[in-house]
Amino acid sequence: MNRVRKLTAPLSAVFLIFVAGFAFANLQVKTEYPPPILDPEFNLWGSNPTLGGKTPMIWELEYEKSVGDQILLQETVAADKQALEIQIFQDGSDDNLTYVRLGQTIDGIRVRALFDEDVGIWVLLQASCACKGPISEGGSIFEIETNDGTHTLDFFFVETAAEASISPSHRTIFLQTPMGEWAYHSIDLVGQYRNAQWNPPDRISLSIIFSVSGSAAGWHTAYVHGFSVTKKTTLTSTQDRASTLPFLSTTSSPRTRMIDQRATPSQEACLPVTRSPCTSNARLSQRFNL
Amino acid sequence: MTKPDSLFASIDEVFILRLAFIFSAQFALYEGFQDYNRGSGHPEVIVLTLVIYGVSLLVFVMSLLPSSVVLRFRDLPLIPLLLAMVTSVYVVAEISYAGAYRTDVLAFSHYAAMLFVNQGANPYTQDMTKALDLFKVQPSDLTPLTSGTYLMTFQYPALHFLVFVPFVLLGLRDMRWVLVLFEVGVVLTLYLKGPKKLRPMLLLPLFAGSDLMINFTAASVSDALWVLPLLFAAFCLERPLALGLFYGLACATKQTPWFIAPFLLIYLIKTDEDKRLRERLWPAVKFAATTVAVFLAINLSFMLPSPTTWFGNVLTPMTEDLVIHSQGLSSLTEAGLLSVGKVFYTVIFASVFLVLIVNYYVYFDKLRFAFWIFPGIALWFSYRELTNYIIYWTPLMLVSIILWYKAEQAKTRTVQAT
Repeated sequence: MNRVRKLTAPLSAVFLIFVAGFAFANLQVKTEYPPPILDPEFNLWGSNPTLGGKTPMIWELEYEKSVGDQILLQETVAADKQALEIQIFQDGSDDNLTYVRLGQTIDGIRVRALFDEDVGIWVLLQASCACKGPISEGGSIFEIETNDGTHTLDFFFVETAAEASISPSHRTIFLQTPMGEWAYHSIDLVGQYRNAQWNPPDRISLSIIFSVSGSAAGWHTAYVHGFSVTKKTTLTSTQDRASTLPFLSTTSSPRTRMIDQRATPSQEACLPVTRSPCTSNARLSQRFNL
Repeated sequence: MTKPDSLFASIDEVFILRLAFIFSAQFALYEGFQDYNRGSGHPEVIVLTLVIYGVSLLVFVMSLLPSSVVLRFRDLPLIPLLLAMVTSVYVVAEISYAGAYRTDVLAFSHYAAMLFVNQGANPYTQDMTKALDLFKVQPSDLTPLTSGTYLMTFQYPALHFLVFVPFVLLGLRDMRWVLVLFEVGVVLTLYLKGPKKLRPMLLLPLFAGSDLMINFTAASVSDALWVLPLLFAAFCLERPLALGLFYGLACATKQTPWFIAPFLLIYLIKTDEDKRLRERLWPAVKFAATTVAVFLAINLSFMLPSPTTWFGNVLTPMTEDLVIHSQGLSSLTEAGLLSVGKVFYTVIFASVFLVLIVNYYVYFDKLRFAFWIFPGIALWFSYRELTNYIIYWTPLMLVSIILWYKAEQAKTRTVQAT
């Protein structure tokens, strides 16, 4: 027993050192990052007394609207996918922009994760009932924006492809998105930062923005199924090519028309538009200062 | 005139009492000032602050009065401490947090109790998302998973919500007051069980900082619920059935006390080493059987309808993909300084836990009363180590020093008698 008492403490120390060394040498698996994007599929909803009804809890909501405009956020099922539905009713009574921004700040190790992994998003655009035409031509913009305090990346979901717009601190990438069906886009932050020769950020804000110009009267709707963050693949970045070959950045789901399983205000309250809200891409760009 | 009590009181005892008076008054004054800042503009806070300041000043003065007065009012330090505790919990919970729960734990438990009372529902099979809205839980206070989603299930043994059932029936809206009730129980139990001459000293570690007795509870950390039954268990170490009863209640409340089980078994087996092994094993068997019986009596009706769900929920840290979040060793990974995964920390945690068990067995004569902090030490190496996994063992360590003191006292008396 005396020998056991003599040896237990030193052997315990040796055992722990051995285990720590062995574990350190053999269990250095790929870093387990925390999730870079929280609540990527908009599962958590909480009451919002200011806007009324429920809004995504994790995503910080910011919006601007005139008195007659309406903003509606809700969970729905669109074309067989659970989705966040963003609806804006622009009453067209003034030229003021109506917009909704859902954002979250990503910092620390989560930013590293965001830049080390493949990020993508499922979106669905619905033709504006006001225009009966492409949403991008109806005076509305649906986009993902990242901002690190110095540099801004805008990923616009548009029906018609366009050249990327590049300035020293701001890049706008147009991702061709067919109307009325789900489309998956990869959001290549690494590629864009590398091409722009920007330093990787310590902190960024990631936002989903849906905005409607004052002239685009009527209901406008966009859907987000969610973000996907997966381990990086070795494939060539799609967005690197996207700026020159815009079609490559979009992968569409099998062609299915959007089936909204409930009566939406857009169906119920699609108002006749007395003024012509449709603007060209050029006018839109001017208006939104692209 | 000198009271008879003071005839037997040593100078040291009075000195300790005076220190305790000043400490409690000082602590209350500190909390009063914090409450004044946190709740300025609220009339009730102003009134409460005035009361706290008044009591603090009174206790300051009394600490410097003659020994007979100090001895007569020897329990006075309890008043400013408990008053400051209740007031601060009120101000932080109701004013700073505007009534919102600051953990998903309490929101889910309160909601589970409501579901049980109103619908007779088994909370283990229910989605708890609604609780977040009901109790205004902030996104930052949720438990994230590696997928970016959040835990939305009830993850604790059944007593963690059953304890709130009577209060739901009574219409209590904020279950933090139940936690305060348990905390007051902890303070009073320790105080009454402590050696009379040294009682005030037992309060010092509990109020050395505001986290243990105020901030954590105000922020809806629910650990006080298991501390009280475990405290009762700790005072029953020589009575295996009572030990098993209270330990079973603690284990039926939260998972944290589970980690003390091997040490309690070793304690029971090694306490009377003069006895034969069979005689030493019998108390351990009685303890284990009682613990399991109490645990099952409380949990079985929720386990049976869906055993997989119950186990999946209660073993969440093992079954769910929780993110690394820690104030322990794994904070190195959380901060991006050490690239190792959860398996690394789990291996280290298991090794440290094993080493502590072996060493406790081998060096029982020296470590006999030290075991209450062992779970805290082992958990410090795990991939999720929050401060409440350590800090809530403090009352149990105080039991240890009370028991150690009493054992030493008994030994001295025996030596004197012989």
